Amino acid sequence: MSKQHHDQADAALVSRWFDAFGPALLLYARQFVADADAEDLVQEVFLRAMDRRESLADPRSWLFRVLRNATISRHRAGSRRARRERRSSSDKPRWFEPSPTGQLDVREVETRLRGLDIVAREVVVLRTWGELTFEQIGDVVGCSAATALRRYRAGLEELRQALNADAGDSAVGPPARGEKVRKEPIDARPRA
Amino acid sequence: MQDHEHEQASGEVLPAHLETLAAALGRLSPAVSGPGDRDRLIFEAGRRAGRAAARRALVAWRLGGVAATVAAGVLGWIAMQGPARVDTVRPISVAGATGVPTEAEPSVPEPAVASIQLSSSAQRPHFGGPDVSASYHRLRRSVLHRGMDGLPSFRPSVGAGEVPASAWPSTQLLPEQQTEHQTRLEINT
Repeated sequence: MSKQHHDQADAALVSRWFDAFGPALLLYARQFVADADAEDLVQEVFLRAMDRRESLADPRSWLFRVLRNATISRHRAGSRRARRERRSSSDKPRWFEPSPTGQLDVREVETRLRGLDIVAREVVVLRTWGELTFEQIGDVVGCSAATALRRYRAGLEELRQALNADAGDSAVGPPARGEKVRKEPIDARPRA
Repeated sequence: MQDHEHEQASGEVLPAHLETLAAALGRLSPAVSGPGDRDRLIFEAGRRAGRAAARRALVAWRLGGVAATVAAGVLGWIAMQGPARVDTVRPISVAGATGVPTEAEPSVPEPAVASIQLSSSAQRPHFGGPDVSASYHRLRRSVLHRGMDGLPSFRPSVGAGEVPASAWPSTQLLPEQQTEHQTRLEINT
């Protein structure tokens, strides 16, 4: 009776985590690996989180950090295959749910997001859809909160310019003055 | 400088146009693979939890089996050893039995150790208790002093097929007892 109750609680916890973090984790994993690999990795990370559920003080940050390490390892192992799969299906929008009433075209956003440098892109994804604070982002990617904020602003600015270039400067507000987009070298080392 | 950056990061200060873009991006929902993934994930989590529980139970059984085997071995070894044996060493000195002194050796006589008697509780003979020994000595002293009269009175009952005391051979009696015995026989006849 107690074990059954425990299992039900575990299932409820997994379900709650999947609802809260699943889509963002999947989107984050897709920044590094192909779709099939991303789904496998997200599931793997959830299962690992289940094993350590009682010791996780900040599951959101932990999930993204572990997923980042796993995706980078998988990316290094099968980067050639991932690139081929990405090329073969790059014309299909699959990062975001269709939003006919939205302000932005999901296909365009995905295309421009793919064009961003991975360092800025992962911070934008973590902040916008992962809803992590800059401290948590710094913990995930291995930098300070200030550096995370700087990368976020640079990524958003680059994305805005790319979207405005397509939409004729009317999509997302006026162009920024004095803002410089600064690209930084890729730091994709997995952290412990 | 560091504090300023930290303050800026905490306040999440963004230009208005970037705030607008961030809000618009935030309204996009990341695509999920499908409802089947969620069910599969929960199923996998349950299966893995079951495997972990089974593995823990198996480990516990194995540990219990090993512990029981070790305990049985130790108990068997102790049983094979038997009761604890206590050895006592008694040096016995014999007076006058000295070694022959040589020229090099001093002439100081040493008490010779005649033997080393090893005795254990398992080998020690039993002569009965002190009461039995005392009564034996008392009886022996009485018999030596008084002869057969010193023996405790013994009156066997004469049953069928048994020889009466009058038929005992007189040669087994002492002289004064033979006289008394003869007198009794005459009176009886």
